[in-house]
Amino acid sequence: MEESIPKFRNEVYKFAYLLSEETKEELGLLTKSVIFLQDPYVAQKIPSMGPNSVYLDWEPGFSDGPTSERIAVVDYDVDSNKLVKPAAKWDDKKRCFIGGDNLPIDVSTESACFRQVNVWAIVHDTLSLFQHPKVMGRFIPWAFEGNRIIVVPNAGYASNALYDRSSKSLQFYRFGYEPNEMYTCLSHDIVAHETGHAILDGIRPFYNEISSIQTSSFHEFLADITSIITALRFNEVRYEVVLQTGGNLDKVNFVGDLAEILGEYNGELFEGELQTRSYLRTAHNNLTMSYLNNNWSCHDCSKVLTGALYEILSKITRKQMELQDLIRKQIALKDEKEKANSVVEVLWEAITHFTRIALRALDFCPPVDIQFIDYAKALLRADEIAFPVDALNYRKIIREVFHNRGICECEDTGSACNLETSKQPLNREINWFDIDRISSSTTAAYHFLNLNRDIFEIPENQDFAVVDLYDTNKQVSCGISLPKEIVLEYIWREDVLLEGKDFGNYEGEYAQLLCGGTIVFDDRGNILYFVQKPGVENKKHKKEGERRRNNLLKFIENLVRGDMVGVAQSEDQAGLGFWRPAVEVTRRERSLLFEATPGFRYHPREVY
Amino acid sequence: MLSNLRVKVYDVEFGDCVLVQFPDRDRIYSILVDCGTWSAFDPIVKDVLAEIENDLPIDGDKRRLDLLVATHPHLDHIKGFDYNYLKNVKIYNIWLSCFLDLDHKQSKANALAIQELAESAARSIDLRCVDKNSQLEMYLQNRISKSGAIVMLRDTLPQKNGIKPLYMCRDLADSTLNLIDDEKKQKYKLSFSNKTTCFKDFKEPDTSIRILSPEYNIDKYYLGDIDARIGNLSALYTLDKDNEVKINNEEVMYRLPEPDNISKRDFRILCDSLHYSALSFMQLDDHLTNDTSIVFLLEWRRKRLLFTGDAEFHRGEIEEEASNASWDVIVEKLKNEDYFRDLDFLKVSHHGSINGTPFIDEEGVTQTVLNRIIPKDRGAKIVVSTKPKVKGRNVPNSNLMIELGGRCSDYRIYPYDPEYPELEGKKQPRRTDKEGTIEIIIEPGAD
Repeated sequence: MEESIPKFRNEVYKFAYLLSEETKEELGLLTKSVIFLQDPYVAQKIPSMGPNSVYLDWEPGFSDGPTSERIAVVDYDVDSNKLVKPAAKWDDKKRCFIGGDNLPIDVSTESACFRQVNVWAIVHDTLSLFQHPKVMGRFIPWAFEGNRIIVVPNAGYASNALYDRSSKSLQFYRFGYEPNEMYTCLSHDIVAHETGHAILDGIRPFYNEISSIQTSSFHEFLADITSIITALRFNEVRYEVVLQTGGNLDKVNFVGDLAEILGEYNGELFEGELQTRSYLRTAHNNLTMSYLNNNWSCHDCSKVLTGALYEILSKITRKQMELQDLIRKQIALKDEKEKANSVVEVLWEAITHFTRIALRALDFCPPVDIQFIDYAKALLRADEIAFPVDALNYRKIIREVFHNRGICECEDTGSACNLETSKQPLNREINWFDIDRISSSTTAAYHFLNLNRDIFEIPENQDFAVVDLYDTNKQVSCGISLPKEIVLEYIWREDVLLEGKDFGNYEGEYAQLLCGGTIVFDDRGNILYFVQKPGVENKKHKKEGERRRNNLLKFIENLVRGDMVGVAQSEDQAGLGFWRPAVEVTRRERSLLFEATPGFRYHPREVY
Repeated sequence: MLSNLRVKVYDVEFGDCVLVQFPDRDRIYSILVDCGTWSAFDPIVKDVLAEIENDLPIDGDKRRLDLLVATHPHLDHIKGFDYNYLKNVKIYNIWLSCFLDLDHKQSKANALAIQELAESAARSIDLRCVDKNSQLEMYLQNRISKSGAIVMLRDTLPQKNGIKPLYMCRDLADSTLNLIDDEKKQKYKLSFSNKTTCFKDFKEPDTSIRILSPEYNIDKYYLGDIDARIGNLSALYTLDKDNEVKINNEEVMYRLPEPDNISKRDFRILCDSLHYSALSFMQLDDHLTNDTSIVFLLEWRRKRLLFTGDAEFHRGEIEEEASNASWDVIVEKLKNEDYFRDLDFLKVSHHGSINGTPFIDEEGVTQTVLNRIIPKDRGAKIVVSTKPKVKGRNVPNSNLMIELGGRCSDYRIYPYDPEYPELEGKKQPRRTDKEGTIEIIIEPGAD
């Protein structure tokens, strides 16, 4: 890359989303960083997974930290009360971050600047992926008030990392002891995982409210699949995976096994001792929905959906290899490297398509209380819209996988079910249909919904809120744009009485059942997709509403019995780190709001 | 004059305060085991001590207390030990856990470093103007406050009573360890028999106190590989020329720095949410303190009474150079001894929490231990000094209460409690939170 700065770079930047990677590189719209493609532990076994150069999207306004438009790295260690200064600096001439001493960054696990840039780069890259026109095609907001997430690469000592909405932060801790100290900020899996949580929280913030075990598990699934997707985008990672598996992703490999540094550390040093948060999960599994019976661990339950999506990726890859007759060709090839290279490209095609399949579905998900089947339906519908002709039968593969794992909830135990979406409202049935007016503001959207309560099954007496309204600009391959999608989300809340001794201190109080829906229009006003979450006051779907209410009650009951619920302190009296209860209760409008905290995924051994 | 042994377990809310009195020929022997509370309401312990004072025999112009045992230095066990509350009491013996001994012969760096780091961390967090929730604030304040109580026990009370504290452990009088000389053994009426240090300052020959815990070698039995658990501890402190622990960079711990790329407000909120591993030091120190509680067995006229402090139980087996819990070590060392069985009285450890008594639901080593020390047909008397749900903790533990209720003779069936619906109609041991101060009478055993 030349060191000269194109004079027009700032002007060209506004069109960057339309340009290919090669063009961006030519115009100086990329920056080079060095990151761990996996983590130091994997790199000991597979050296190519150590520090590698990667190219990331440049933005105007990069500054020291690193700090960019949406991310600010603050290298603060709470135990020593030390803020690392100077932090990594932005060199506009070289278009990369350098050390605080104005020298190139020392690529070493002991270098604070390297850790700062490593963690920033992975967060930046993950966010860029989601926002890419070939994925979600829009800017993704954060869930908190503000637009810049704070990333703390070396926050203190613990075998943990977390996303915390209340402090707008991603926190990465270190563990182990010299000379084997491990930094979670150097694990690509862990950083991408936590960023996945933050991104999903921005896309669907109400998933953080307690509604059902599947909703909480969905968060873990999305974070895990983010780790897998982002890792497989690197050539070197795909190459090593292919060497390990020959392109058959059903075989165990280091990408399907997540967060090895924590798993290894936990296995050796914490056995029978402290309860720790285990990042180590594997996507290689055959778990079905029966695994969720009486299972109240969101990590555990998430494995069903992660396993399903990983299986889909594996089958898509296999399909691609069959299409390119690679299997027959592989047998003919003698050289291992040649064999691997031929499959690496195929895997790139597969992961690219898989990324679109997995992530685009998020815009089609309900605003509240997502269940695995909701995601399955959203995924199929989103893919149908992008690729009306399923030439490669990918959707058949997807349906079979969901069916075999019981995610479709259908009675048919024979061949794959249809996983049909619900009947969509027809345009001619809908009142006041001017998509430009509807999408002009949330109040205009409200008017539209209000005039069509019957169609969208919003109870007559129920006030509701339009909580999000946005459009997307998605592309398929070769830069072809899809019709614009306009996404409208609305919610309301119903009171649910907590009756019985099992609710402990909360007996006799009201919890809140979140209800609502997502409607996706195209730019002509055609309804592409509609999904709703009814309450008990919904006439047509009262049974479904009651089922949802019972799920909520069961979940809260389990949380109370497990002593995981505590009263939230006020904003001015924040808890300290892991001392916050797993679920915090706030009193709002005379009922109780149950929200997951970072502690929901971590339960430190208590003093008593 | 007492003709039987009396145990009074005082209601100090969440804490322990037990007065044991028994006739010892022509005198009444009095032992005060702990006096503390988590409650911020200081008059609780003051009032209790005034009541205790009235129960003590007259000794000149004061009242006589033969033995004061502070099982371990947590505020809910030592808060009351203030000279101002005890100035009318003449104390003849003070026992503290060897964990508090500043002259502990083995390497004291690790165990004491943890204490020092915990104290420093508490001060740092407290002073760093970080917003804290009320629970944590209370916890931190209690940690800082207990320093004063420890000084009382180590220095002030002994000085005022013209005595020196004895740092007690199971193997104190074991001559192979050479921890005290014969002169001291004689002075303090100590001997070593059947694997325990025995205290025999009694006129009746069959009366004795056996120290079952802690072990002298704290690092070996209770600490384990702390570096693995809380990081590079040795990097955080140094030992000066007098072998005193000095915390590194302590002076920089009290002011928050200012980053350049985020606002002060955002940084303040961020700091509140970060996990202080200093809190891990405090937790580690707390466990260590619990596990080095003085646990002793009083044998009087063929009756056995066990006082347990906050001894913890983890898994029923021990490993040397590892972190073991108090009960695990006791069971391992003494499980075959004749005296480690058939109790007549048990002061339940750790306020009835699940990790304070060897207990698991399924048959296994812990059922064997329970069947040995409180067999169901023995009719032992059992008391829990507790207050439920303090700081959100699940204390006392319901399953444990049911198990112990099935093993004691003076069980109670308490009225329905919405906090514990599972205990409705169930037998439980006697609880101070239900009854207030509890008085237990133990009659001599048959010859």
